[in-house]
Amino acid sequence: MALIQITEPGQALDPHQRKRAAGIDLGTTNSLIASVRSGQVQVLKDLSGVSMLPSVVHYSGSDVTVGTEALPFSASEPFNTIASAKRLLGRGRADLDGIAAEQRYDFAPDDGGMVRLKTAAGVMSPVQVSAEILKVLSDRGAATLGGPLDGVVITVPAYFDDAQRQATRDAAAIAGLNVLRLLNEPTAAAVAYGLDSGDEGLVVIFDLGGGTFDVSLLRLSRGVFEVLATGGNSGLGGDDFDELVAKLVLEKAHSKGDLDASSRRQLMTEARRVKELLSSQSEVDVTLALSSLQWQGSIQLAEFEAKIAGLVEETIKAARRVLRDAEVTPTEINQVVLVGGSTRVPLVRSAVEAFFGRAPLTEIDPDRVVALGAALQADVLVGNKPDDEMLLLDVLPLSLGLETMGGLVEKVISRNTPIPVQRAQEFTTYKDGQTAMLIHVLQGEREQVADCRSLAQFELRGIPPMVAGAAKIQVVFQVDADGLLSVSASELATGVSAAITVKPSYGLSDTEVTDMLKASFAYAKEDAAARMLLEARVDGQRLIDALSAAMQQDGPALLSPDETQTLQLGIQALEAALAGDQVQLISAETQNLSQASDDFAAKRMDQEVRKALTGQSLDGVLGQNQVTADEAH
Amino acid sequence: MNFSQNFFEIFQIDVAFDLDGPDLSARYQALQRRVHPDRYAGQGDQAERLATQWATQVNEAYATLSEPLARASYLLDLQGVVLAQNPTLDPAFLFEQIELRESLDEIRQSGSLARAEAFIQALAEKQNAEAKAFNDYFKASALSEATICVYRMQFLSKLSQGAKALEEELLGY
Repeated sequence: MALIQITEPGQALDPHQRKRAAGIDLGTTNSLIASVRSGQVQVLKDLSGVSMLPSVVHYSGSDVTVGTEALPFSASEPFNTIASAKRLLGRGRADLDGIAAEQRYDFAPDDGGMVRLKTAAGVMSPVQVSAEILKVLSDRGAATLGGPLDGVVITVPAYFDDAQRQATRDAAAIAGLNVLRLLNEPTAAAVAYGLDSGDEGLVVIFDLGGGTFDVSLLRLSRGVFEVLATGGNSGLGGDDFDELVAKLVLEKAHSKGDLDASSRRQLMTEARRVKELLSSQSEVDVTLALSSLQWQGSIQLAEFEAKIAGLVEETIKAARRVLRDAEVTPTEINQVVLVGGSTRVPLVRSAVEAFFGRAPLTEIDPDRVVALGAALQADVLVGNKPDDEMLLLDVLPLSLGLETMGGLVEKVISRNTPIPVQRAQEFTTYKDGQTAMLIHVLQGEREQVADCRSLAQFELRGIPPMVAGAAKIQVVFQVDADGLLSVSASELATGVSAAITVKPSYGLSDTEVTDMLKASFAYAKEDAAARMLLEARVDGQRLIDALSAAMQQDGPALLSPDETQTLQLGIQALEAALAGDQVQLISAETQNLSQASDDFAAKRMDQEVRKALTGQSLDGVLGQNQVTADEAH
Repeated sequence: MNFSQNFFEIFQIDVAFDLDGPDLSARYQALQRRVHPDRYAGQGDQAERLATQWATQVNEAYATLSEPLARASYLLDLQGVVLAQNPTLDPAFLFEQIELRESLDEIRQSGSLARAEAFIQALAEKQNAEAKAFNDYFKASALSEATICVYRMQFLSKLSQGAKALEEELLGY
């Protein structure tokens, strides 16, 4: 609840005020946490010196194990050992056709549009599984940085839709993390590279991970990372290569593939080993002695490449589309960066090199680059680098629209629109006396409702009865800087407004998240009441500090004596509340003061906007234009 | 919040159709540096809400100013011109539109990517010519002629969207 804090350049923070911030790469296969420490960005290690945490969670009756310790259970208890949960986030059963999910998970019926998994510890949502991984990383961060994390940046594939983003946020809430921002993985990678090299111009980030594929085009200039276009496939990755290797083995072994779940897991583990070795050798020997499959032989690099050629072509096609969206040709690209473990596959590298006509950058470990970039942004967002010039301007990855007559989708915001964004569309009634209207929100590029992802459905009621076509229903889409959508609808013609704001229907309701949070182990350990008091005090004090500083700086210019007095009284009231220990009183006074200072905050913001294009800031920015992309947009 | 400023005022540039693209981009980045919610992360609801509103407004202004048809419509809007839903245009132009639509349908039938691309290119030239005409009329304060140009641009833009959708289809996206 603080007033805008505008720190002028050169005004360094007191070292004691340095906040604990971290970047988290919540990966399909492995997850990492990184942080900036003494000016150096680094991946944080666990007690045994290992930085990669396998994204695997094992549930027994009462215990949850995460990471390397969970791995051995994937063969013995395949359905209690959840791997690749990221591919299930925000997804229903019907969305999972391509990934051979039946053999890997024991599904319970979908709930709220998302799959649920049966385990020994009960039915779990992929959100809960992901939260377990986040908790381990959060604890690691707290242990390394000397206290609980003040804020984190969590990365998501740029191509994640709204459901998948919301599910990621929910997982973080259950893990008790304060999320400063969801950051797109390719943008994070660009940050990790860009800040080091000071590159300017057009950069392509080609990110092929365990289960997702993203390609993004960014324009870098003086610390600004502007995403021009993004594309990919949130269900394509190294896991699919593993599947194809397994298929190849089964073909060579003349097996119909009717394996039990445990043999299936072991086959997949072997397939991954083969794939990884084929990045550095041309042939791998395989010996399989599973309960339902025995085979000895070898897999050639050429056989592997023939199998995956189609998928690799898919990735190049996506890259071509991104360039087309931005109206850029491959020769205009200044750099190509490879991210994600699957870009170690030689065929992927050579295809990328052939398409762009230049050798891609791979200096930073492709497994770590995303976490490192996220840590750099977290450090800025948490306020540790007030005079940092870094700014990330991102876009909406997939178009948003509404269902119209005949099962068609009308786009309200098209893909690659910079966020945050707000767009309104007007509709009318089609029947006389119609008093309600169904609003169906969809995401995707196709024309038919059935081909897009349904995000939310709600009814606007209480439209005054009028002749058909007389009512004016305005539907407003708002996408925030995290890429998360909220939708509201209202009737304009009569001034009678019935508005509703929906949270898309796929994920978890707020109460569900709260329940899970309460149930989670981390929360139970703490005294909830003490924590609430602490948070309320921090919020209140932060508001007083920021407002006092703002009044000193701009009060004489922007406030009347009356306004100044009102604010001073508000500050005194809040200070009095802070001296006590009544959470509700503190919160109420904080709220009052925050409201009382709303106008002042808005005026200061307006002043900021005017300053943006005057004096020093303008000389620096406009003095030398980057003519890499000649037309704006 | 001061939303009474028009988009040109926000960017502090002259109210005109002609503009310098790279300069507009640079101004956009300079504005976002000040108002983007990332600069106010963790500073509480009030700050983030204000920043989000401003950043949204700056994005809207940039989208409007950087796209010729949107910019032209906006200029007319500032002059108080209300665009008609179903404007009357001269028959020769409409006839040409029908012909263009027919060629697009033919290209769809033929499934030829090369022809689709050539079509889009030809449309782009027509769009540019129309934008130039708009600029001349607007500078001369000939608003009714400029308005006709915007209607024509709307037709061409719609056609171009259709052609681009076809191109995507033929590319297999």
